[in-house]
Amino acid sequence: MSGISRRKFLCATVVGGAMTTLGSVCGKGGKAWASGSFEGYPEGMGVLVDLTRCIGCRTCEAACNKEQKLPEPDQPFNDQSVFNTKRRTDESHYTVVNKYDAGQGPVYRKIQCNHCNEPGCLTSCFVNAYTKTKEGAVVYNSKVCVGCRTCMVACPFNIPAFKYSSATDPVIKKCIFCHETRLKNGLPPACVEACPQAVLTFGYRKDLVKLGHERIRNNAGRYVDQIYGETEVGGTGWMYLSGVPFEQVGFDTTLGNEPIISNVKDFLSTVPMVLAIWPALFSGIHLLATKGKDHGSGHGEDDHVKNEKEEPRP
Amino acid sequence: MHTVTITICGILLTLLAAFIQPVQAETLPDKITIESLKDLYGPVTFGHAQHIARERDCAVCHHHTNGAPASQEKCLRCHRGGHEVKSMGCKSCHEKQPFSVEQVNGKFKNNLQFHQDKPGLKASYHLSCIGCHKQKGAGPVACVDCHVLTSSGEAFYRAGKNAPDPNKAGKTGHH
Repeated sequence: MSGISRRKFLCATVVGGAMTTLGSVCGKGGKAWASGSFEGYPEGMGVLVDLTRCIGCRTCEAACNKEQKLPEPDQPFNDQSVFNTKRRTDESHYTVVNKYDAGQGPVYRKIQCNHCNEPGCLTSCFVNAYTKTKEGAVVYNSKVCVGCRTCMVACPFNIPAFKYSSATDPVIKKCIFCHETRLKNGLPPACVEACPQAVLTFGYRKDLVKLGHERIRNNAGRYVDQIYGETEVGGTGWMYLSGVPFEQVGFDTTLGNEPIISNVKDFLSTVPMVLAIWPALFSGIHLLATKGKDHGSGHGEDDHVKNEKEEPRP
Repeated sequence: MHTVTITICGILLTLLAAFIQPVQAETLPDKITIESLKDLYGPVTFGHAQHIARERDCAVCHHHTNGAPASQEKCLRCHRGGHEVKSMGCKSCHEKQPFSVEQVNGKFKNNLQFHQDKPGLKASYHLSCIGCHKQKGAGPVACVDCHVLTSSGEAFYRAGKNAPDPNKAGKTGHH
């Protein structure tokens, strides 16, 4: 009995392995793995965030909540007590402002999805739920999402958030650059429009890189001579200027300039091979290794059946 | 001899007066009411006369637009003599919609290097006011020092009568 079921199991494994391989080959054609040298769409938009201008008014948070029709917050958006803790983005906050003490006075830092040129979330998603639009937004399709949350691990900025309140209907929540309501119509995102201090400058990413360097040069001593996001993880749509070293205000300065795909593409290319070869290979080895024992087990089986028949006897 | 000196002095003074255009006190508003964000906030009254008395130099806020030389060194390279414009209000140069399609597309079309980074109207007010007040350690810097929320403002910030119920706090999101 058990011999037959094992044979069935092995057979199913091989068939399953072959099917997975087929699936992954087809999937690969659709996904077209990036080479790691993609510098973003030429007409991609971005935002330059100038931390030296932010006063922590949280108007961007209020504007985001309204535009994206997010749930009611725990505290009013003009409540400054939220700065007592370092917050992160979650299912009801696509952007948050945190306060840092960096020597001369407080520094406020707005965080949201940085809309990478080569997003780690998109790279890691095996159902292609993420898309980098030609306008520069990284958008997400909940209809195909299976809720594996790999994107949350893959994101170097810890941005995608899982909607734990609906785990059976998995949804990842993150900033989408107001793509549907604004960006694709040529409008800036709601937070940019709401910002009173021009902390946020919206424009073509390539223009913003120029603008950022001009601003650094024209205001000697005001800024650290770096635009965070110009080259980090292959470049991001949202970039930052700061008056204090970036690591002092919560930025990860150890990410390097290689996009996430460059670190994982060697591994990812072996996955289909593993799925195709390993089941057949190990099935073969297993069959060979247990060939002699098969008769024995058949014998044992008979014994077992005999024993079973004998067992009811008192 | 004395009369000649007095005459020369008189002519010189007249010439000087002609060069230095007297401030048209009657055309300068003493107070300016700013209502560009009236849907969210009540009107803000700006003490123009009060700032003239404190600051003296119009160029601090008006850059090079009132005929006086610019106050910032980087502007002086082009605007040493200044050039008077017809309307000196902030909104005549600083756009209400700085990120409109035309503005975004035209940003780098002009080669006026220092004008490419010109903030929009709302940001000009806030950057000038708060920037200067912080620098001088005087004047309002917090939002509520100038702004009173209207009822739609309270709805936008979920404040006042629109404040979230503290008993429901912690029901949304995770940390």
